[in-house]
Amino acid sequence: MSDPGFDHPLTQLASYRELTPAERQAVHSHLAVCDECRAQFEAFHRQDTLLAALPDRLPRRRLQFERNNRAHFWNGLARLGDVMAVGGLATLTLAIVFLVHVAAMAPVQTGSAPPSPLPPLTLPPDLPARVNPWVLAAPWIGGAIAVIGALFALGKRSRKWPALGAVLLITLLFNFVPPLSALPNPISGVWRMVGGYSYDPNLPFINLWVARGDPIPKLRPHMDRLIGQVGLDPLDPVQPLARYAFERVIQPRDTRFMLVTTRFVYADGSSRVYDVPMAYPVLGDFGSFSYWLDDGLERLRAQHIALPGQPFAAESSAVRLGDAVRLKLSPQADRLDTVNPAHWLWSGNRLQRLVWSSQGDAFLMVEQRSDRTLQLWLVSLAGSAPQPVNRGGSVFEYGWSPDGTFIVYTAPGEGLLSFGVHEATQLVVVRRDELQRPIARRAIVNTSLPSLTQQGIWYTQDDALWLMDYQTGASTRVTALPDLGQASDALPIYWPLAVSPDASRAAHACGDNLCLINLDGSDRSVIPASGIRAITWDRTSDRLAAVSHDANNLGPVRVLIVSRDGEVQHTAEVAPRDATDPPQWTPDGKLIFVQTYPMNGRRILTVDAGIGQVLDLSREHWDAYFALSPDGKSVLLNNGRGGFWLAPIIR
Amino acid sequence: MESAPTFSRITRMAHDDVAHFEALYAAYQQPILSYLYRLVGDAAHAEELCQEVYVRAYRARRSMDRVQNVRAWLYRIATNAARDQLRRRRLLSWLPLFDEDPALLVESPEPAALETHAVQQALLKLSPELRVPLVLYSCQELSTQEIADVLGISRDAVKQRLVRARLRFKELYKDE
Repeated sequence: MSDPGFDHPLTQLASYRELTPAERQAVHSHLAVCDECRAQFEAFHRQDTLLAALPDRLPRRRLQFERNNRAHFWNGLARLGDVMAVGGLATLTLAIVFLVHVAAMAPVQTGSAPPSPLPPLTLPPDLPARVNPWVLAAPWIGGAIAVIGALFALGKRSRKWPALGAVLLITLLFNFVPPLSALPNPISGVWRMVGGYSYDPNLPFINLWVARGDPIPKLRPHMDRLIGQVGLDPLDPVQPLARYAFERVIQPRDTRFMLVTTRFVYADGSSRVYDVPMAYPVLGDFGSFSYWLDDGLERLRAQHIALPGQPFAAESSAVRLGDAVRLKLSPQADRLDTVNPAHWLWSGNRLQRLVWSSQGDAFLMVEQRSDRTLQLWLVSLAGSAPQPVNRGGSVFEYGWSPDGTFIVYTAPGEGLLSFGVHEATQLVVVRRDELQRPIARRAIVNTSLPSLTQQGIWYTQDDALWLMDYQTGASTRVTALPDLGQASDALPIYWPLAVSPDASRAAHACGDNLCLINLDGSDRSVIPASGIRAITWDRTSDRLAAVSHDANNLGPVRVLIVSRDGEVQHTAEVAPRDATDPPQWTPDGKLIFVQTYPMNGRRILTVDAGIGQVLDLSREHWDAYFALSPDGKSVLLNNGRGGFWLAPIIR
Repeated sequence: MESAPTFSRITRMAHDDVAHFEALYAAYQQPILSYLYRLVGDAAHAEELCQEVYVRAYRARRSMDRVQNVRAWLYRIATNAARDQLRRRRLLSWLPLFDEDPALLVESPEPAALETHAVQQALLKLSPELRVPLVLYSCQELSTQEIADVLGISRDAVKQRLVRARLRFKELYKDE
């Protein structure tokens, strides 16, 4: 009994209080026969009595909690932060899981049309149409709440974190959440001043003070009208437009525009993205834009109607264009000038002129910079990156030497001829393979492109015809042009000149008329006209095509087909009025192609040189600039919205 | 002796940390103080330790949400606080200043008071290893499982210590 163990009765006696009734019964049975254990039991019972009788100590001090309201506030804020952080993270996670699930359920797109690649981790473009905007916003809201909550919760360590959280909260509310975002605040002010603010129209977050208006309701019905249509960019020439999605609204610094980044999805599932401009906003109540005078789809909504005497080419026509096929150029080339909203607007019709090299392996085009100057680009069809031709400044007209070795362009003059009179024009020559270093620069008065033949560069200056060597830039005076009538006060003028490919005869504008003269000064002819805007010889030097255009833009635009002797063989009306580009002959001399811009449209006209018949090859929703290929078998198309296309000429 | 509020009851009472802790304090202040007094045998010392116990408990209040038995948790803090303070003061043995306790300094002690004095003296002569389980069981009426939670040992070890404590106390009290 003196060696207590687990199973020994002493163990049970020592903690008798915890025994079950059955165990107590067993103990008492044992005690009845074991005097020693009974004595221990009584001793332990007395111990318990004695120990339990020890007096309790009554506290002489009372715990007094100081109610610290500030601490209470910070503790409460920290606790709120805990809840916000957990709740925000949960919202973020659930929303992402849900959106990924919805995205995974989307039909697979197997389009073959040229891509507008989606960045990695991008949700399908049509997702906004399938879920509630608040579901789309949930990851952002959850993330923001989680971050702010974490900052509040960090207040247990330092008060600077909740302060930072409060600043972040106020910043987010006043910059993104209407109607608070309609109030001016410093960040909005910077946005408004610097420009470049953009927002996702599918989310309920918008800075109303910076954006100043919502163009989506205005644009949506216009987009709806394009569903099912085909055309050039942003439509597809073969696949009808199936649906669209607004992805972003951009407010540039130039508040005359808002750009709506729109994804055009075609019938085969492929898609392309374009920034549709909304132009010339009108201020409504409270300084916000109530509507826009012009929008980027107006040119595509216009009816495509044949003009009198210029019927559209039909299947049975002698000449027509086949379906356009996209050229696979470098992505940089495809993006040239696509950010220029003027291509979309009625106010900007003749912004581009494509000039194909004689080898057909490259072409020239311009891009309008933000300061409205033009950058000339050499674009290779081999897919390499486009190369800048002019270094700074702007350009007027541009072209190739017949062998494709040199690029010649006219540019605004930079020098000062005399006090207050600036140099009118610069004639610049560069080698194609050495664009960085111009071969020659010469100040001239005429802004039109000089005539480029194998012999050299022909230009007019001081009432005479001059010839510049491509290689050296050296100029020689060829002959006097007594009928030129050119101004001599160094003000820029546009005075077209064309020397025949065999370098035997020159054609030039003289007053409103067309003059022809041999390069030795003999055999002068004057063909009456109402203003000559462009002249092009055919390859044989037997004929030329001249565009006659009334200086006051009152009369029709005509193409005169004139023999080298000055006989007008045909006169074809190609537009009721407005500008045109220089005529382009097919190599066989049978057709003349002319780009016209009647009433600010963009038309592709062809004139049968044999009979003077005119056909309009342009199509609805093309709205394209074009250049005839050197072999005369296709046209290069572009409408300033991204892509370059090749349409075969079917004869 | 004491009524032990359950954890859920205390949680329901608590609308915030302070209210929660005030409820805890009100429920356990006197038992903990008495327990400490029985451990150290000195009233002032016990009061000081009691404050230390609640300071520690307040600091650890967030972990209280995970505690199954609040009473055992508080007694564990009290036991550790007593040990730590004694260790800091280099009181290697748990020697009380019992004779200086004004509560027991009476001019004509009653027999009951003398017996209480003898019980306390015997208790204080127990080693802390045996004194703590005996006080917790017999004075504070904790179960052996709760004592095991307080001391961080098994229930069987508690029962073994109780046996040893009772036998040793019996000898010491006889000597008194």
